[in-house]
Amino acid sequence: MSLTPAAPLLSVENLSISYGDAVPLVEQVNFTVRRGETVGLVGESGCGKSLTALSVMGLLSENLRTGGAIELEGTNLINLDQKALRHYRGNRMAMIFQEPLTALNPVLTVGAQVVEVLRAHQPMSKAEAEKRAIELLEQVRIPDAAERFHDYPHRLSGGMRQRVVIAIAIACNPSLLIADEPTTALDVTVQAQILQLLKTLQREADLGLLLITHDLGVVRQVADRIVVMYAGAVVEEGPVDAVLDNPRHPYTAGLLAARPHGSFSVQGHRLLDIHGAVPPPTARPEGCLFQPRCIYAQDDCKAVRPQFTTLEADRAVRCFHPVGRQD
Amino acid sequence: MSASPTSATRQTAVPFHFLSGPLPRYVLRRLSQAVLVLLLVIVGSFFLLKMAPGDLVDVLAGNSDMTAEQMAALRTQYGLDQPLLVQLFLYMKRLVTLDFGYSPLNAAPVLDVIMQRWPVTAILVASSVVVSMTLGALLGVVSARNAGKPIDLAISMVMLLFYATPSFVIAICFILFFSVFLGVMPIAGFATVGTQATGLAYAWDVAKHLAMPVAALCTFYIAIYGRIGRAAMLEVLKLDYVRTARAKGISERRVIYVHALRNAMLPLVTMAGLQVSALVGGAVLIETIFGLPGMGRTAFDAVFERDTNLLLGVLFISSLSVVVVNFIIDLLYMVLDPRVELT
Repeated sequence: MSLTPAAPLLSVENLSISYGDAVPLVEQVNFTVRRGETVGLVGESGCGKSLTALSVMGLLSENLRTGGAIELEGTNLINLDQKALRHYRGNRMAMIFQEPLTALNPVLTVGAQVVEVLRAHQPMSKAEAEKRAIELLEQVRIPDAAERFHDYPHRLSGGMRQRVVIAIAIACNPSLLIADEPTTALDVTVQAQILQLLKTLQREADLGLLLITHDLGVVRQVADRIVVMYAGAVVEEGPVDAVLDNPRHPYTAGLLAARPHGSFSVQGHRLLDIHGAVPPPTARPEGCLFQPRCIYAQDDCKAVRPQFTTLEADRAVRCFHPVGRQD
Repeated sequence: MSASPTSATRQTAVPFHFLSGPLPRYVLRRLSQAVLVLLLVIVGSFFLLKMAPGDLVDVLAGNSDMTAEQMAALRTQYGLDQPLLVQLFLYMKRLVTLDFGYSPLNAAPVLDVIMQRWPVTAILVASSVVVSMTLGALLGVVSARNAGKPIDLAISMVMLLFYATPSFVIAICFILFFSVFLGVMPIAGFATVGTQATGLAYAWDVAKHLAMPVAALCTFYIAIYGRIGRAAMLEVLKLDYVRTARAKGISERRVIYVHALRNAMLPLVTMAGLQVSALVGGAVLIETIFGLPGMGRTAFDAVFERDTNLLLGVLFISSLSVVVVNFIIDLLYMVLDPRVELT
């Protein structure tokens, strides 16, 4: 590989996604994912997390336009047509979806769906692909994999189906794995197993993992770095512990304060919330995107949109008046 | 009905244990339903036909001078003087041995007549189901993938035309254009009269004769399949597993035809069942226009000649075909969608 160790696996630069020419859904999104690193992409519903992920995969619907750059291992994916993109999809990068119950085709066997992706990208005979598919099902800890191979998805539980989706994703040894709320639809115990599995697979294959979630607990457990999005833009980025222990953007701080924690249940503290709701793309405010909901907002916040600025070594924030400690 | 074997198989130790799998149990249940349906068809159509004024002897008498005595003698000969219930009983008794009686109109046993005519309708119906479903599904896929674009609009307009034009009008237009004006297609019949051709040459001859009737029968259904297919594809293309398929990096053609269309086929298959039911007896017009000796025209002629035996036979075989086709459709459902299970 010609890449220097420092070069990121995935680099998203100044990404914008818009509906037609008029309405920008996502603007000025910048982040990177390095090999072997887990990046948690967090934010409320409707802030553009999934759109960002889908744009990396090239799976946005046709009426959405993307701008900026999405570089995977040095190739800008944005300029590629669908045919060229197919070589990367499922092969160099793969995606796990939120709803395991609907992510698999109900009329094809689990095995056929794993075999399909193998044969799409690797010169394999049917028998070889079947053997490899069963190995993959074993690798994602599906019991009796050889028998489950012939089952249809409706025979499997949600957790098992998510394992199949993961097996499909890792089948061709991708270097980037995108997981869009992979555990949201699952029971808490199953959630932990799936996260554990993702971590193990990541460590074994040195995968770059982009984990999209709104669960800050999951991010703390799994991720190395965190990217916080709000209303279609990245508002804060940094190492997980640093950001969660000392959030600098008022929105991140608000998200953290809005989580129920120990004292909430024991001492009956009031749960803090962020006043208002995420503005829809058609009604984004002047100045700072968060300013109408921000308790620290001042006059300059209402006038000018703040740039994404580096605070220290690996932390950046889009705010004129960062909160928290200055390290 | 005899003691139901289906209920007996629910217990574990039963004499019918070989019938206890889901498939045999299902087949048995469907079979008993089918018998009931056919019984109702026979009894119902028998009384309906007897309620109509006039019988075979009236028709025969109308064609030749006949005295009242001769007519009475004929009625006795055909058993038409018996009370209705006795006639029904005798008819059913003969039916058990597959004896459908005698058709005075054709001067042959009803079964022979039907055996001769049934294949014509079967080929006609089967061809039009296959052709209209294939073309309809393809048009549905194309318009769904280009929803809202000019090509979708164009297809919609053509399909509206197909939908709104009666098949007999299309049939006559075909005859005028291809047979009369261009002179390239045979006007009528199932095969060239007196043809000695065998094998492929005969098949080609029949295909040429059936092309226009099949096309005329198809147009309406192409429109129906097209509309259903378009709606089903639009529905399916939005689903998560289609996105999963795209995320695999497989070709768009595979995404459409392997992942999406397979799921969108279910409503089309339902429609195929309805189409077969409608055409088995309902192709009268087309069979008449193209001079095809099929079931529809046989029934039509039988009505006018008061040939009750023949008409009952046609109705029985037609309903049997519909029952069998519906059963096949249900089995097809299971093949297409593994979530459908035998109940």
